Amino acid sequence: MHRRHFLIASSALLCAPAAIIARRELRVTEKQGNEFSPVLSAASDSSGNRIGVWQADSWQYSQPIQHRGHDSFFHRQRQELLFFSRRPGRELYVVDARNGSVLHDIQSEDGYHYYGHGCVSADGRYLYTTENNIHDDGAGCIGVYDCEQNYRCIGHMDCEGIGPHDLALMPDGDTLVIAIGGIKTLPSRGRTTLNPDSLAPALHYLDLSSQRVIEKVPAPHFQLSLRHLDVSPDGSVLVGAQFQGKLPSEKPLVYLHRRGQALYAMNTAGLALHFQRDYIASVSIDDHGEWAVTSCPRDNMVCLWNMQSQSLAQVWTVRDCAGAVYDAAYQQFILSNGDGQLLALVPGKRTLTQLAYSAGTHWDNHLTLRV
Amino acid sequence: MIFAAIKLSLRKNSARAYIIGASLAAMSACSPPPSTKVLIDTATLSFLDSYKSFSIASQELATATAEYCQSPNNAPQFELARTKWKDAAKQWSSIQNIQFGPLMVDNQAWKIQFWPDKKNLIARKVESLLKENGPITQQRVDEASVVVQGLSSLEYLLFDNKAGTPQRYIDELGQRRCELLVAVSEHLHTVSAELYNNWRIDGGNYLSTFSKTGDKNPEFPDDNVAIAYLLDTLVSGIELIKRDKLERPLGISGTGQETEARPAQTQVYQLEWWRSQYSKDAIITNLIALKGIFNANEGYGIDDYLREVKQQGELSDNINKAFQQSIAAASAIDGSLFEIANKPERRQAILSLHAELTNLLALLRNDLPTVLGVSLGFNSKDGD
Repeated sequence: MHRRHFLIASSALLCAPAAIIARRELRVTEKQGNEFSPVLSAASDSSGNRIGVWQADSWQYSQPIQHRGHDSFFHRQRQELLFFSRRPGRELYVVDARNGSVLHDIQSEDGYHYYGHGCVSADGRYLYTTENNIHDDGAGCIGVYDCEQNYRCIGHMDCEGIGPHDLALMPDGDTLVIAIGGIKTLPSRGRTTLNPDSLAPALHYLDLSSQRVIEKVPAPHFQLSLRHLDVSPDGSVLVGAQFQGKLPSEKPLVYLHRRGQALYAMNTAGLALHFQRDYIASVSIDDHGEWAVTSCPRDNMVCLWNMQSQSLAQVWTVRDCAGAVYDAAYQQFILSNGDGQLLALVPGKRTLTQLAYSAGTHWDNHLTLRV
Repeated sequence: MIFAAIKLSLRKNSARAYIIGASLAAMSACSPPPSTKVLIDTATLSFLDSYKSFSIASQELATATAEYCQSPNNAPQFELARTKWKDAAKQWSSIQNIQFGPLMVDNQAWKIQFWPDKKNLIARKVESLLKENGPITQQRVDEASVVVQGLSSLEYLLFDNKAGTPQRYIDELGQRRCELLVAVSEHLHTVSAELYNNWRIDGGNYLSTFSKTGDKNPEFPDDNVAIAYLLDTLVSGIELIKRDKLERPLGISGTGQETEARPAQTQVYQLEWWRSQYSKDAIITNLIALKGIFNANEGYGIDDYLREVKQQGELSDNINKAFQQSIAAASAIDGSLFEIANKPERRQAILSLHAELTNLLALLRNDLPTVLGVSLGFNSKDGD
């Protein structure tokens, strides 16, 4: 809306009879239905760390875990929920989606730990997780688990990059796209970056049949750690970066990639994006590949991107907002934050609406839909 | 505010004390909880007031530039426009640090101030707009880049030692320059008036959004979440002053240590308001405003909440003392930051301010969140 129109509209509203104002409020209330699909998330509260499914205004089921969780995955074919530990955690929980009971409590193989993300093959048979091969001096790899054999680890694939983080299955069903963060850590040294001067962040495509990396796309800058991504139905990949050098870098942090091409920096379209801490947490694209959301918790910002014009559409201020997932049933993105809020972002709508609130709950980095 | 008014009338008219006392008792029975009082008083006595002052100052600036452009030969009127710009920049400094609400919608702040301008975009874009054809109207400014809008553009037009002199308004392109000066001033006034309107009860009523938290509130489900945004405003405000207004342009390391062997690498053109040499004044106003937010000015602020509800009177006093010392240190700097940045013998005053800010920031960032029971950022502090 143009400012002048807004001013006219608001001044007209001021002069309007009370009845009109009341009716307007009613309409807004009706539109503010806070329905949303159930979400999987890790969280922390006064009792400690937790994983589970949140539905409407409470946990449908949840359970405490020893370490902090990170991302999760809904295995639709098996109706199982997979929760991955945050690095350098070694736990992977498989939960029955119907009742929340823990079916398996998997440990990474000796000498490996998880990076917090995973996805499954098109037929649902195999689970792929990003892992650190500690004994190979922190080389990155993809763990392969047989879901039909109690998630037994059947091997590791070389992803040819240090610090693989988020990953997803491409629409062809044969290829994994992996965000290579480039940061080398070893559990003996905690979360300290051991290779600050020689990071090699990139986007790698791994062919599942040959188990080989078939395309490598380096990040535009060695300190631009590519960490989280999502894939559009047409195979476009949107990837978010976290800058590892002096802040602010003033570099673009969100890139689009299509196979065979270079990374394309999403256009901020004259909307000034004033990052201080250069940190993208979650990336989520809607089901039609029209809109995408990136969360920037260190800058208390959420960005909506137009995938067709490859440009920034809108920016909101939300404290400590990290989780973001598209909820097709209600045509909205669901956001979560460290203040216990779940919020709805509807493209084209000026304001966010609150879906749920849990005082004292800190939603952890990522959200997954259970539909 | 109601309480303040009642206290005042008590003093003025003791005969009415009984009635007022009775109504006071009745009011306290349904008076809001302390956390809500903090929100109401901070919003009413600090935010709303600051937005109002900024709106008025912008209006006066628009009037002054319009009057000047009636007779561009009138040098005193040019000086008046400069003074009014400083007033508006000062009022903006009271708002600049607010981290939520209408100011954050669609980057309103960028329409008011484009800074830091590392590539000298303001000069380039303003000059190229002047060379384009067609009348320069407020609408045209609105549709143009934020770089040619707001106080930053006006600072260039009023203070730049080449482009912002009265002579340039008499030159052949003078009239066009005046058109732009007036249009940008009007645009700034529209932006500031809209911000104020969005806060007003009879406008967008963000005042109520912020102070009436609860289930139905789209942004603030309870008082704690709203208080968290106040905390963010305080912390990021001091961070901005320390990092962006001092460390980066003046080449001060985070620790503030300097030696003769390694002179500071300054970047004075990244100082805020370097053209008008108003950087120090803006910092002082920032600090006074942030202190005002902490105290809800004369109302029931976080300071009282800490003392009465959290039994943390000492922390409350320490924070106020640290604010006071920072303001004193900033005020003690002789000359403008631009002028003294590269004079090692005069940098000590800047380093003293830096040290005070470091102390204040530690209290706000380390001590205050714990006491308030508010997290400064769960995902932001330690994500992955």
